[in-house]
Amino acid sequence: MKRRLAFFLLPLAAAASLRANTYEIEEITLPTAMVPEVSGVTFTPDGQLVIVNRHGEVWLTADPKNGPWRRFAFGLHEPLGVFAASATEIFVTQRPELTRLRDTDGDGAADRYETINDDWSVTDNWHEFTFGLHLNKEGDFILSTGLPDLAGPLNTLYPRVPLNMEKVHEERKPSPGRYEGWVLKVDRDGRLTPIASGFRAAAGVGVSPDGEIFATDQQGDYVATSTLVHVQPGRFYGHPASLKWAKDYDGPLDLPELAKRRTPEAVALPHGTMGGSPGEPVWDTTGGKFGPFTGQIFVGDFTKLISRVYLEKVAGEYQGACFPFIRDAVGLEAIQANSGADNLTIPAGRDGLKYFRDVPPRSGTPLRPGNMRMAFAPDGSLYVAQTTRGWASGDGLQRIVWSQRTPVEIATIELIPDGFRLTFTTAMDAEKLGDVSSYRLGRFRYLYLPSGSPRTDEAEVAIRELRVAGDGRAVELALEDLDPGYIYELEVDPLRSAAGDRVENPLAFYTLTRLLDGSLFTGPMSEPLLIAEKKTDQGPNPENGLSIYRTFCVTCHQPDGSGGALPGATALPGTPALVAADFTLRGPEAPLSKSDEELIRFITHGSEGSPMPPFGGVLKPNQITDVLAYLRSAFGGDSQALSPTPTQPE
Amino acid sequence: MNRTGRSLLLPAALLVALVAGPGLSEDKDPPTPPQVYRTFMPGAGPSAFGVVLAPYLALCYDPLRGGVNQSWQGTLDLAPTLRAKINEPATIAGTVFYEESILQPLRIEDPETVPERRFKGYRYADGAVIFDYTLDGVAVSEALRITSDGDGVERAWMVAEGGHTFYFLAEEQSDAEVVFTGGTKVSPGLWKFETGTDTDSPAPFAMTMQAKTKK
Repeated sequence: MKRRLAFFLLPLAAAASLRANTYEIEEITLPTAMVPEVSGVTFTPDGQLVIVNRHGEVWLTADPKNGPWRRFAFGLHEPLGVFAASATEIFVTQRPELTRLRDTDGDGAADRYETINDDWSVTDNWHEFTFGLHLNKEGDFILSTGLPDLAGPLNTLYPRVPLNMEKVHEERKPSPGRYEGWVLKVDRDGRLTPIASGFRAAAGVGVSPDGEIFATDQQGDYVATSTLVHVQPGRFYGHPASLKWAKDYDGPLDLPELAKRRTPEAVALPHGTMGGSPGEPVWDTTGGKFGPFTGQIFVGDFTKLISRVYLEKVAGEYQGACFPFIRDAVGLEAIQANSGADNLTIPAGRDGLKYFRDVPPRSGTPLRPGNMRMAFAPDGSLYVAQTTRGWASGDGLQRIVWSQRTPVEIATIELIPDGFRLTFTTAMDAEKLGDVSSYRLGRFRYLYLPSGSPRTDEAEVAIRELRVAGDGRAVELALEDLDPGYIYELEVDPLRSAAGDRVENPLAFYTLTRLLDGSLFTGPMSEPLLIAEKKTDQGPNPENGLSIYRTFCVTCHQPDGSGGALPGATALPGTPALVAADFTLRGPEAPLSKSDEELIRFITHGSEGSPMPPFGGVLKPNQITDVLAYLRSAFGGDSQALSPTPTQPE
Repeated sequence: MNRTGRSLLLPAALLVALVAGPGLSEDKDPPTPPQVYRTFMPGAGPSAFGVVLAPYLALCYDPLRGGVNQSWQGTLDLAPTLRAKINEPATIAGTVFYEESILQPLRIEDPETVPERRFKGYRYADGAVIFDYTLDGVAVSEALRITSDGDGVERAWMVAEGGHTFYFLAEEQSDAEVVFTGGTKVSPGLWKFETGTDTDSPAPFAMTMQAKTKK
């Protein structure tokens, strides 16, 4: 009898676990005629779902579950943002302009495609995206522009305004077209006002319920990790290329001057752990329909991740914490598949996989990658638009629904005079909350460098005292070291709720730009404070180099080192093919005939005009020499081996 | 075996099929109205237009150079613009019979002066696509449609504001029959028209472009 009972109970338990997620992911079936590279999502004031895709179409439906869908517009140039004033008047950002689409004859399809503003310039470069689209308090449109990437060509014919190839510093991503790398405002009369500069590729702009503008930027040169920034008029956020379009530009500028002018991010999204390419920030304005995070920000990411951000104002500026919200397993294979992209590089080697924690087990539909656009529906569910072209596979539209069960999470992290206050979504096990071994706390910072930066000055931080709130819903961590300029990383795996449940996402990062008294980091922005331990007794490690090669290099250079044309990147007429080096070649012109110094420089800084991205911001110097040791040992034939003492890259 | 070809074969084939949607496939009826795609066009300024007038007739409209760059007997292949993260221009799939290269061939008041042109958008009406722009601040509409015999392109300019003189700098065409109406030939390659001073609906300045060699 017991056996028979178990027979029945096990499926019941399995079924219960299927409903166990606090947030469920549902698939939205798209019309078969639509290519599902969904690049924008919004709702009309009367609740109709509106989406755009990268093929240039706009689709609507009043019933996302059952349809029917209606194609409202087509032929747009890669729209990446949409705002619906009504079901007959929709605004989109295209690469070259902000456009109003109107259905004036009532047939359900737009017959007018009106240019509202095109005062910025584009050159048809592949990386020259125009992002958006939201309204500020005054009803102006907010959008942003990305910098081109010289792995692909620029079209210099008939520019909208004369191109400017002048460099502000040493940037490799230029801003040849006016206002490339800016967040922009277009008022209802179609007048453009540039708001702020210094963006590399602000792939998501958003406006808070209070009307304040925020944008995400993408990790890479000068942007050590992806960020969420509070966009304020006249400010500069780090990537120098766009500065030359400022009215008061007085460059070129050196790095210390750029660092002085740079406004730090509100929240850093540490590369790898918190994704690699963030999209649009959206605010939970559902009033509790989406769970216990009202007022907080959700940020989709290109990786299979949606993050959550809690902001507070400290000394007049925003800063705060980020948390994973929903993450699906990425896996080494996916990391390797993504590694050819310069803004999706993942820390490699022995350190690499620590950035990909085991994800909390989820059942049901997994989250896809490419989560670049999101919008809350009137029913409080979160619609997630996904596009991955060229970087991964898996496009479409999903929605996330709160199951009405409160997730056990760190709801907020707030700065206090001697540390941080953690507030949870539910009452916690007070004993574990008061146990210092429940917490792992560390800190690190990123350097401001043309090559980007790995984590620097990384160190554990000791907890001096724990103060548990009487209701078990909060705890204060008093720290030995609380200094501005660092990102504090917190793991709370051992904590349990009072009911014994684990914390769903026991990881958080607080970007401590300012202390409560407003004091800032005063040390060097582009140099480490802690001197890395020198390894003079240990030569390069080809085995570790193989691991790094498999993670970063194999997509372009192939497992056998023979290189070849990059996937999906055939040459344009009159331009050189985008070809990865063939390490199996021999002779004086062969890649591995170059000196160690040349190759290290090439790996560290990349090569202008070639598809080789710089890895100096991602790999540590010893990791670069490890890779080189592997290349020499695996493909180098009789080429000269590395010296036992690692050569330091520039 | 081409290493990259293996991974590209299926997606590229799929995208070609997906891109060749209504209006781009030769075995479909002619689309009404024209289909306009803003995209990467070869030899054009950034973000130009591919306009499919019929499955066998298309053109490139360049809002920055200012006019019809080419018209060809054939169709438009958008697949190169969509299949990879590093895009390539669309392909002119056919035989070009009409070409323009003069910067802003439509001039206002002075044929020697290149006007400032601001693009204002486009609309679909009466079987045509109508591009709207300003030349030195004066609003101009340029309609493109298939000719009534279905063999060529009809192009007409409309200016609501009276009292202006426009010039069109026509380039010699070796493969196209070009016929102008509604204007005055000033000299070889230079046409003039004036906007309505004494009538509410002046005859538009127009041209037709047809391939000398029919396909």
